[in-house]
Amino acid sequence: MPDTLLRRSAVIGSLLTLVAIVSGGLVSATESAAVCTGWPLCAELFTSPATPALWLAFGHRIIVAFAMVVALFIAAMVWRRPDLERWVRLPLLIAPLFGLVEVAAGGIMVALGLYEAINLAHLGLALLMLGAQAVGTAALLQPVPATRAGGRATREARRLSGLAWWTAGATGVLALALSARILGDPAASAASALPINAGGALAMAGMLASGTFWQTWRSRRGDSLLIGVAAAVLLLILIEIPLILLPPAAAGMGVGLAALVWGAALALAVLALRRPLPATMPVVAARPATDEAPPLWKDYLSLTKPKVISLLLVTTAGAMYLTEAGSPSLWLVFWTMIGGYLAAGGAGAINCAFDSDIDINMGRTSRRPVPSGRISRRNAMIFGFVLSALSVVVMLVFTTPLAALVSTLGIFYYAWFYTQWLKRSTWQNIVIGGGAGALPPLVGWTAVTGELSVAALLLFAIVFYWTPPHFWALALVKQKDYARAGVPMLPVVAGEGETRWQILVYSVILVALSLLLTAIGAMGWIYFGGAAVLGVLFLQSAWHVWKRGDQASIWGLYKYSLLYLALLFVVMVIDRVMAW
Amino acid sequence: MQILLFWAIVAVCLIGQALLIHAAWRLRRQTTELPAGVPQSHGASDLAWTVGTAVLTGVLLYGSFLALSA
Repeated sequence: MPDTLLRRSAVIGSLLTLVAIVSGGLVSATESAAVCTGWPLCAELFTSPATPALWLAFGHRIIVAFAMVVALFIAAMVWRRPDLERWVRLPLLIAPLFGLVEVAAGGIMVALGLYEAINLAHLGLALLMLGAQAVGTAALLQPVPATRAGGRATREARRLSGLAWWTAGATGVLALALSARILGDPAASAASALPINAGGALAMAGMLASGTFWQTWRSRRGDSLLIGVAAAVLLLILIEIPLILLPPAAAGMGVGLAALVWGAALALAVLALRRPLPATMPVVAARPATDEAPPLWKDYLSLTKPKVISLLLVTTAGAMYLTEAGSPSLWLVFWTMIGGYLAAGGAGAINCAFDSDIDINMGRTSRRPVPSGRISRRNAMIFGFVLSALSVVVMLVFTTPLAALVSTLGIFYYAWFYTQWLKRSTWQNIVIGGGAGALPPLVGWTAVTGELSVAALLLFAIVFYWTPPHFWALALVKQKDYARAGVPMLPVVAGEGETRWQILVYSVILVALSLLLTAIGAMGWIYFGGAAVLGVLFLQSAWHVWKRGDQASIWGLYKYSLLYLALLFVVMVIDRVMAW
Repeated sequence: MQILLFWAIVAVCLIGQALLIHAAWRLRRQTTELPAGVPQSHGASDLAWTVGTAVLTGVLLYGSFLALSA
């Protein structure tokens, strides 16, 4: 019985805190806070005519008071239950502390009239209170399963939980960023000092929520609760998109919605680790070749090489935030991503059509749709042409002519120059072919500015010099495949020692060039610090490849190089946003 | 500070490109037997690609110097 009371109280407490945040958002959006000049009581209730603003401000205080009482009640119950596990006790004990500081911040805000300066801390503390309650309540409602699952299932669960934490973080930032929009003068809000605006935070939250949903679907599709929560998180973030386009006063709803997503994502992060794990994980690699073929739409999607494109789009989007023009509009980013995907996907499909004779001889690629006969070369080619043509239209209509030109150049570079000629004729294939993969940052840059600059060309050079260490690491591991397929990759033509040496040299040039952005003043010292740390790790991996040359060090470099490029662009964006 | 950093980067790139050109020069004369079906890379073309990349990198460094001086 006491457990039932605690569970119900925890759920009610979380909901009350959420309602308090929603009502707070409405108070800010309607500028009702100043109606009550006293604190904690509102004397105007008895001396002034009862207006909606007055009732809203007073109602918010009443709800906050209720939420505090319930949070303290829960904390008292938890305090008396040392048998409860740490994940339940700690958050539920901390929650009222956040609440008390938040209430105090509210008092200072009213007493001193510092609405713009303190609103961020006020909301942030409320979110922390809600977050603590969401984590504690989820842990309370979902005990740890008695049976332990295998290593792979646990790894997948941790991955899902990690993604959900990141999604929660992004939605928390989104809620804070939205709070600036609902004030009369957003620039005066402390939230304007955040390193990202509401549009950027929404885009990031959307990407992370999509990833979380995908991971849930992939690893826990039998668990309807997890799937439901992950889908709800994604859906609520999608609902935020039209809300963000509404007038600032209506953005109060957006803050409440973001707070709801924040709580739901945190609950998902906890549930992912505590829900019973599936007895058998869906196995992809071990599936026999005689298995049923994947659906046709999946085959066509795979022709576009979505995994490769994701990194290209990171560099495209990153470059869009680095220009002198400031933060681009969300719509421009959206259409550039669409156009970029279509261009890279179209080029990828054409590459699959041309390369089917090579792909069939390589273990890594032999099960692609064209070499395995599920899609004909002709259809793959038509598909590639259609996507490429669409990309040109999208880029021309929604971005700039130069961005469209660079994007189209990228299609020809990859699909013909690299695929048809370089790849089959010279060990320099990856070096010169790297130019195709280095074009996306130029697409992003020119989509915003309509022109090129030295900084943009440096971004090109960074990706260009990143390509050989990355792909030669893969080629070292898969050199027998390349030899069988007749591709003159450097390890096949010149041997492992030469390849490992050139990987090291290219890595040194790459790291040096990455620091050039600070030297010419295009990036600040925050970027320099980040790039230096990432670069040292890259050089360490390349050094290990050169000195040891074992599979572990080669795979280590291959995997780290993917992370390196993504993080380098993230650090660039952080540096740029901090400078705004 | 930025000037120092710039010239340090130039020095690293110069040494790196020299090593790459030297490697391409060495490989130009290499006559190892390749696996069946793997085409023999044209040595002079490979060297030309390497030198061309180095030249373009030099042009980029020159552009960077102009940006730094501006």
